[in-house]
Amino acid sequence: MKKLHFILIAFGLLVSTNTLFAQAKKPTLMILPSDNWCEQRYFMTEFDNQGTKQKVPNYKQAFQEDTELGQVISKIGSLMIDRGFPLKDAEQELKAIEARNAEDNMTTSTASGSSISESPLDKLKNKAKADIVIQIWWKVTKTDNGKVISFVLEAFDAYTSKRIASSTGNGTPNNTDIVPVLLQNAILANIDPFAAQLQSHFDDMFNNGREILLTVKKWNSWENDMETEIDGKEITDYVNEWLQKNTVKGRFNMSYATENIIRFDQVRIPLYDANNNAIDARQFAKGLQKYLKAAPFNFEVKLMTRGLGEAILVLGEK
Amino acid sequence: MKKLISLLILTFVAITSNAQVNLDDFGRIVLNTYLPDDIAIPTEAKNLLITKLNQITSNNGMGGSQANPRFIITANVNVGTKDIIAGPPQMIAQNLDVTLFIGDALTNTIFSV
Amino acid sequence: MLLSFTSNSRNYQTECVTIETDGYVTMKIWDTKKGAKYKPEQARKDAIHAILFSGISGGNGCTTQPPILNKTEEQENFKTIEKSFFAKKGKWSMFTRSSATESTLPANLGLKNWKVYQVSISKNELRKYLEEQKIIKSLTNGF
Repeated sequence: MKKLHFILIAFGLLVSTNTLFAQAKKPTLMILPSDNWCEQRYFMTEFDNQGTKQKVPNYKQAFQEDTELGQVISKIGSLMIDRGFPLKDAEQELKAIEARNAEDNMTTSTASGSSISESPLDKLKNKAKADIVIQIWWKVTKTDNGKVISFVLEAFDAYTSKRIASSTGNGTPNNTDIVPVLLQNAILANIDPFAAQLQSHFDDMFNNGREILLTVKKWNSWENDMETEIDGKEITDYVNEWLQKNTVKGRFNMSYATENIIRFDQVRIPLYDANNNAIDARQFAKGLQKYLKAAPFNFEVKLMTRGLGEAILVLGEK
Repeated sequence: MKKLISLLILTFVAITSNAQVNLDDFGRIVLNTYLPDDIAIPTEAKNLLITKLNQITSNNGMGGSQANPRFIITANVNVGTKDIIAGPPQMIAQNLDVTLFIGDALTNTIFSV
Repeated sequence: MLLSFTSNSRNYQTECVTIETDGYVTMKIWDTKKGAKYKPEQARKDAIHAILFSGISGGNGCTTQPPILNKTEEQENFKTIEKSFFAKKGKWSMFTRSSATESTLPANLGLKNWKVYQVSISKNELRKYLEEQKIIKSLTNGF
């Protein structure tokens, strides 16, 4: 009897470990104030871009000079930690980027004194980034009955630019409390509806696949283009067919296709591959890269990614 | 007779003492680095560009800085693309076209490189 | 005559007082059928029921809050533990503070002599408990 028990337990453990899925890739979240919020408080830098004036928010200045922003971010951060989702802090990330840049500039190898290679594209990508950007905005309006706080808390997917969760509201006129207290109340009022929508987004992701953006481009030096026919079919059509086979339920949308670029959006990729390993846009696009590198194409393909949700393939050379 | 021989020797030495330096066309020209004052780049970049141009000319044996230069090497910087991103941190990405010219100040001709 | 005590026979009505305390919801609750015979213990249970199934409607300074059991699947999951949860010595008592009898009735009730209670529910703790019991999914579920 004991032996039977032992065998049953061992079997049970074996079965349970085999059905354990790997954890899916967890998106990172970061809070930033909205452009309008920065504009209202003059935290914008104006550049002259070859004749037109362009305004860009200066987040570092906002973090250093605004008194309310720190409290708001801190409060939202603590509520999200409570739900098991620590946020990436933009201010700390900026400091870390500066420290890392300084260290990289000073690093030389002991063997040959070589410095670290960094292309201009690397420099450009060296910014504080997250997969989901939480944007906040508020405004204090003074009425006869007291101060009213209008608050907006929304989350955007950094790659698809879709609004995935949102909660806004106007507080009741209040004459007794100070603005930081009113802001805290506004956050507490909006955090549950916001988290509920975020949860719905994650549920949709687990059921229907992660939504990514896929772009296929070509180098100038390549003799072919997207409309080149191989065995009677255009490259665009081949890529189209590959996506139909490899996306979840064949869901994708060809946003536009020219002879130089094909852009696909709303591409739903599975969260796990055949070996139950968690995958993101890069591993998915690698499949397409392999397909185009093999016969009958034999193209050289460069693969670039932006985080979890965007992949760019450039045909022609590496 | 002695005077005639010494005169002949002197003339002979005078004639042969001309060929000393092996001059070819390269060594005859001195290229002076010059950048216009209104060039659209900041001071540090301008200084760096001047140093680089000096390096180019001296590496090829044509460096120099004369008071009244005739031949100049100069550069023209044009902005190809300019993109400004919020970041954070804020970043400006630029593609610059740098064209080098060699010019003749006297005849006002430009020999493009 | 057999009275059927099903969990669907709820006649309570709520009015939000404040959601501005960290992790708590305070609401006024009364029963249209029981009126003056509304007991405090039942009021507390009904308040939790409201948070779980109906959410909080906006107004009076509160923003509309969705119910904790947002999906049919979650409601089904809860039904499996509902009986033991709302039992006399069940877990429900951990999540409310004892209610005070409200003397001021909500405006739309008028001069009826009904018992109105002000109940505070520990919304965050309730949510965490349900996540631990796998009734609802946490935000990090699957990652």
